[in-house]
Amino acid sequence: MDDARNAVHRATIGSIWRGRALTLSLARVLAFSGGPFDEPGWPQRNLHTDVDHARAAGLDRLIASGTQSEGLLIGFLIDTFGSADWYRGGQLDIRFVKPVTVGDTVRPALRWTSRGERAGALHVTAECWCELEDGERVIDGTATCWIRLDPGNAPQAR
Amino acid sequence: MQPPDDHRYAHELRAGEHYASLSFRISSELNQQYLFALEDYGAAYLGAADRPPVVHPVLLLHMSARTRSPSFRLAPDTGSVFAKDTVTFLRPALVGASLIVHWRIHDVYLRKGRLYQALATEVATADGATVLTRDAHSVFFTRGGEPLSLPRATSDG
Repeated sequence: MDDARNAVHRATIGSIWRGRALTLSLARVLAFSGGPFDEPGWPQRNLHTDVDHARAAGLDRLIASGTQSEGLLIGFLIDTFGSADWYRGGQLDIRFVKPVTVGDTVRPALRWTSRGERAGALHVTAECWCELEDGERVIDGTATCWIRLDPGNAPQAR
Repeated sequence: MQPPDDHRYAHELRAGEHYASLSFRISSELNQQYLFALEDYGAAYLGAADRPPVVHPVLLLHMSARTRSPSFRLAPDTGSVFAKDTVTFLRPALVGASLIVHWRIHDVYLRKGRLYQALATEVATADGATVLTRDAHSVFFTRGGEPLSLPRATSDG
């Protein structure tokens, strides 16, 4: 059993796990939303990279793509559940509840909500979110994953 | 599929219609650009001599946003952002592999006076194996805050 499986087995329902925080600096936002570095005219101008575009869309400042915070959350979930099981039907269901401004620091987290054994696997669910430094949530949702008890002999979840 | 001569804006499309599909490959350089964007340098994403790098999943989400479709067009003075997203991951994608995204609008609705569009999205390999599926809901907004209305059905359907 690998480290991720061990950790999920030990998790207490109701406990909260937090991942590493990341400041969505302008450099990281441009890397995410500006298109490929080697594209002529980089960065692409859009509401995440260009103030004029943001204003034209009715925004008073640059906001990071919601997908960037979602990516931080998914990386945390893969580290938690283990990539082998996550890529066999791991599911993330989220709502974007607040925009993230360039320069904000975002941290992913989860709270274990259920764990049950069925068909040679643990079915685990967790409330998950991304939060700012003051604890305000910017993404809110649920993650589910099947953790195989015997990775060589369990059906794929989907 | 939205044909090339269909110049309707995104908010004018109706349930049952498709955005044009997108084929793409992720290079090592682009993958590493996104690793920087997330400060996530997991070994699987960097690869090894006997193991090609895995595409960071956020890059699959980025490439499967409807804004990546060749037929996606926003009307002037409008914008659109994700409101909610359900993603199911079925297999990893490898750097350099040929991938394709399909988008189908499965719902268009108003909530609190704002126009939403729900998309069923699939990212698949060239041989048709599904990498991920996605149900993403986006909300449209206008610069002046004017409401957008539901697209009207045309005489042919």
